[in-house]
Amino acid sequence: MFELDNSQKQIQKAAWEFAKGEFDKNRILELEKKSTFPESIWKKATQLGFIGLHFDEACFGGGMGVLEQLLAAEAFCRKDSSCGMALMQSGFASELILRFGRIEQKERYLSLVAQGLGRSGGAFFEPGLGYKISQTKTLAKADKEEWVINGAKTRVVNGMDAAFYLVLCRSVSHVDPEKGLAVILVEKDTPGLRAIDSGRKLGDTMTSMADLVFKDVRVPRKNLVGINGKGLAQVNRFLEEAQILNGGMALGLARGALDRALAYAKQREQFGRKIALFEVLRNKIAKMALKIELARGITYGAAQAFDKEAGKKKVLSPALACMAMEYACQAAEEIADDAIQIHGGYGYMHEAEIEHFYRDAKYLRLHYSNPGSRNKAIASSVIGNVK
Amino acid sequence: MELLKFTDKHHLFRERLKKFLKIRVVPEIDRCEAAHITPKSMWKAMGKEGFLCPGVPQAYGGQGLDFLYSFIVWEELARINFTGLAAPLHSDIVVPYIQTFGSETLKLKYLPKCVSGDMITAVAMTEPGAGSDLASMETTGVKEGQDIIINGSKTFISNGVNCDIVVLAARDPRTEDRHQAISLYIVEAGTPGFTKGEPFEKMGWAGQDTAELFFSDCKIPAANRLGKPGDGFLMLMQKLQQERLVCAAGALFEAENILDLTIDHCKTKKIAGKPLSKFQSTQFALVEMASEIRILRTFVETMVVDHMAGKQIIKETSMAKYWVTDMSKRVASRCLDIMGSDGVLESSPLARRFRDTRVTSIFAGTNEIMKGIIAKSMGL
Repeated sequence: MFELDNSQKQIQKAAWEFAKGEFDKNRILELEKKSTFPESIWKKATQLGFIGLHFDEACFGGGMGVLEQLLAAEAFCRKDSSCGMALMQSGFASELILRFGRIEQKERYLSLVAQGLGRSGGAFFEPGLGYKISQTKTLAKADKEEWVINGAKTRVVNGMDAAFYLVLCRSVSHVDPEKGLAVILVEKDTPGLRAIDSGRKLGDTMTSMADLVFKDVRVPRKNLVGINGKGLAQVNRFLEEAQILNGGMALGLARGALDRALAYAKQREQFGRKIALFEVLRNKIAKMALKIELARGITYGAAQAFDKEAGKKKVLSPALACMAMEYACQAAEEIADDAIQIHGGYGYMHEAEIEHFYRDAKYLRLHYSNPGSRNKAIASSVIGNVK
Repeated sequence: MELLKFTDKHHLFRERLKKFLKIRVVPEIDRCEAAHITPKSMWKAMGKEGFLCPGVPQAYGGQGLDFLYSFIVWEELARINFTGLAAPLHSDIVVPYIQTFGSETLKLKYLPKCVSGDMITAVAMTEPGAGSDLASMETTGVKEGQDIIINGSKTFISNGVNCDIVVLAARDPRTEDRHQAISLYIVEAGTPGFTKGEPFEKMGWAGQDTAELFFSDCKIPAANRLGKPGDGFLMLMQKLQQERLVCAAGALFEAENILDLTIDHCKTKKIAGKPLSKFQSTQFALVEMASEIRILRTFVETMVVDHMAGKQIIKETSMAKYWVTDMSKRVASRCLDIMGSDGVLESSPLARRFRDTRVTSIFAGTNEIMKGIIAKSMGL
């Protein structure tokens, strides 16, 4: 069993208490139905320091690691998967500033996110490229003191309501196209930038998603985040971190699904007894609990490894984040599916909550990577070069 | 080998239906999904064209067509990715109760309107406390003189808002044996004491109205009973073979449709210049799903042949209901995995499919109930 230290246990407890106190069921069902961001819950979460637990303290962060952030994600998504995902992704991709940004960028933008004054969006994917970001086409041309950006991005998390975006652009011409990219920060309302709402999604409905169109968008040269030419490596490193967080959200979601299945099975009577007494249902619960323990082990382990490696050049476990997301998301979908089945017809109704857990699980499993792309990454890491 | 012998007449019927759905139904789907109901006018149009209850004899306003016409309707409705127009439920699950068990008077009174679409039907068995365990139902029907007084409530009733008549299961509290206490009644909408709830918000089947029904001292003529008093459970059992067949076939067609959409996507979507369908892992996944679907189609079609020949295949239809609905859920999930982020926007047809298909392993008897039935029929 993974052992957390006292401060981690406190975070876990505080996040759970917060979610229990603030995530009102009826309000959440309404927000979910209307695909609306939980604005007031988010404000409170930022006031209590739950957003940016892993940011520097100087930027109103918690000065902690990815593991602590994962613990908060787990607690939030256990209470409600949609609301938890919206809160945990409110600072989406701002880790690029945290890991690679300059001090002034951190002070300005991480503070914004941690204080609940703005959310961040990540613009990495492009129409027609699938999950393959190495072929990024969006162009950033240096023009005196400015970058001029032209191109289009798709599947931008927080796309409709972010205060700023982190945009992966092709900025230098290099023989190796993977070495010609840079991350550039673009504030919303910059002239030439247009966001097009992607509409309602299968899950994660409280987080907005959009396509972005850049037409001669001009931003200062100092908006470069990290190193010009290293954009791909930076974004890949961020996606690794994001995969761990996805794993944590999936873990919480799975626990929330089990909580609900248990509560229902213990009170629902059919054929003269509580359905929790039926053998096959008990077996189902046993498997759900087993998968949760496995998901917990691998996600906590991946988070801990990431925190240990943070700042180091050589990464010891490149596929671990991928594996954590893959396993936890698979478990979450299966567990939410089982939980619906245990609820019977009621489980299919919006008011039973579990139906949106199931949609969220499926969505999360396809969030900026899919099982195919993850398998590919894991296989590459395991197999290595073949002569 | 062709198991189902479709004639030119069947083909003409199918072509006419396809055209009708394309013109009259498809443009309305999004509106129905948003409104959580399908307008009665669409039902009437279906009836007018002869697409409802094709099997009802001409003496009752129908066409007296064979069961393959029903099969065609299920298949074509599945192809348009719309569950709101629950014609299979009406034509092949509810109306058969009236057709088989109704008195001559009831048949003459109701069947022509069911055929024309002037009357939409629902069947009300499930209660808040009686889902899988049907015998524990609490809704009562008590005979008083020439009337039956109904009290209780039903839930998750498909067509619950639209329905003009309900085939209702209620028990006589004076009969001790719970299985022998249940009778089926026809209750007309508008009867004093019968009220309908608001349509439920559901994960899928959003264009289809599912509601609670409430009965408070609702008085109906005793002549509205189907069959003999206390025969309700037997009648339900007798009709479940066809109900499960409808569910299995519906899920099969859904899976076929999901796979077709995904194959089209994989052929056109390119990753770095290479179509998704040229990747070995995609090919194997698609092949595995296509194989299972093909095998199950043979099973379902065999059952259609046996069912039309009047054979008792309750075990096989239960097996099919369980396996095919589970399969369609797996196919929806796996196809989404292949499509990735392209499939998870609601603007993608697959997202709706994923939501819609999830209920099929729950409704019409959960798959756990199916396994219990199969176990019994295997002498376990």
